[in-house]
Amino acid sequence: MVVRKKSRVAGMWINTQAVAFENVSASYSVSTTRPMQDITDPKNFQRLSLGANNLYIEPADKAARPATIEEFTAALRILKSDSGSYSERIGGVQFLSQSLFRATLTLPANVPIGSHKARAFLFRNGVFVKESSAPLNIGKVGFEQLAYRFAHEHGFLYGVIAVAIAMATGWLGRMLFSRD
Amino acid sequence: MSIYLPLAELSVNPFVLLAIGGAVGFLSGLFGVGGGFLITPLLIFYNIPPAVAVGTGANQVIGSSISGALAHFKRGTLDFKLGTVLLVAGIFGSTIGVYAFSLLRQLGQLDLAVSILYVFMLGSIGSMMLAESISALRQSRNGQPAPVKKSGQHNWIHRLPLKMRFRTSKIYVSIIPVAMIGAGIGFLSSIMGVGGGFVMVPALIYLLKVPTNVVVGTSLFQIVFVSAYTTIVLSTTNQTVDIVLALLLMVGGVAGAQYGAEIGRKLRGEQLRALLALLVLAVAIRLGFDLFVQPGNVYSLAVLGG
Repeated sequence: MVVRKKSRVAGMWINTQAVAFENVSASYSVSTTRPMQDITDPKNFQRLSLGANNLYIEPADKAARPATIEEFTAALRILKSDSGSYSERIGGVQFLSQSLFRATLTLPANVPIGSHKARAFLFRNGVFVKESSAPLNIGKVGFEQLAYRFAHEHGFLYGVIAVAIAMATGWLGRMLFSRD
Repeated sequence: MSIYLPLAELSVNPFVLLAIGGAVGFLSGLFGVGGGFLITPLLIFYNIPPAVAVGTGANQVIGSSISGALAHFKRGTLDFKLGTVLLVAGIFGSTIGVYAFSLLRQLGQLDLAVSILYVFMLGSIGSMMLAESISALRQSRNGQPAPVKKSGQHNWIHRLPLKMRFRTSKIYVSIIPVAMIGAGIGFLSSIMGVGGGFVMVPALIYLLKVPTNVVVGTSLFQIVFVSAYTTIVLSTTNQTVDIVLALLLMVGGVAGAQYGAEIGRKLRGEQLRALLALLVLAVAIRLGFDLFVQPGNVYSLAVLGG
């Protein structure tokens, strides 16, 4: 991922600075039983890198100025949460019984397809007790999946079909609405 | 209600897109242009990623131009020879444009290049057309007949070598400026996602002195093929053509175009040109505004190498 910053050049706003990051989580969604600060103190969240603000983001060039990295990391978090890719949902986890819970997660529309990881953390009286994880597979289905895969695997053929559809629509439109 | 666009990877309201398509189709029928120069900026305002807006814009232009080209073919106002020369040069220009598109996207300057090209092209063409049509309107108000085509009047273009005769257009002109116009428009087509009608029409009228009725048909003919080529190449190299988005725009567009063409027949030529000039200038000013005013967020995110 690259974060680019615009600045003013000859009156125009142009991308001038850029910082690249490696292995950035494409999407991240947290659900909790209660507001984060009511569960445990911020240090514990930081240690477990829990929550959108504690997620570890690694710069590609570690020798860059720390102030620059910090600035662009903060911008990355804001952009990700503004676009819905990083989200927190308070009250999304409900305990149905002593040992069973249900979690509701918010997924952005552009969530990457593939294997995601679902992790559950249990705190009792502000103390971290247990962690468990399970794979979560996200895939597109039906027509969207077909179109996306086809476009990426057979770009040329996809283009030809797109052109054919456009020509047919234009021709059909003339047949239907022609007024001369 | 919302619909998911598989390649733009976002959910949108289909009625907004049908309305955009319909409004642009109406205008393109009215003025005899493909409407790509309106569709692409409108999609960007609607938060469609610029790269997808350009790729899909090129695809949508085919749909709206083909019905116009068919109408001109029936009326015999389509110069196949001129169109073919423009087309061959256009495909050459478009190939270079697609590589420039990929390169600019990697450098993170695609959005900037698209905006600057739009502001520059639309601004200059809009002001030229406005100046010309206002003086034509003034002359017709004063009772003088508008100067139609000054035959016999030659400019530097007519002194170039490699002349060729185009019968339908009634011109005898060097192939060099024709090829240059074609290549330039092909280049713009792949970077800006436009068919290039708004550049082609004034260029053929003012530079090559082709009769206006032949210009529109010939320009639509070449636009269909250049944007078909651009669509295929952009979809092969960048995967930025969204079929669902294009279809929604086209359905609105082809319906709107027919009503636009009907109204267009009731207006006078110079009135139409003045209105089109104002529209082109408005789009240029709106895009220029974004270029010079501080953006809401100076940071942006992009996938590396994509």
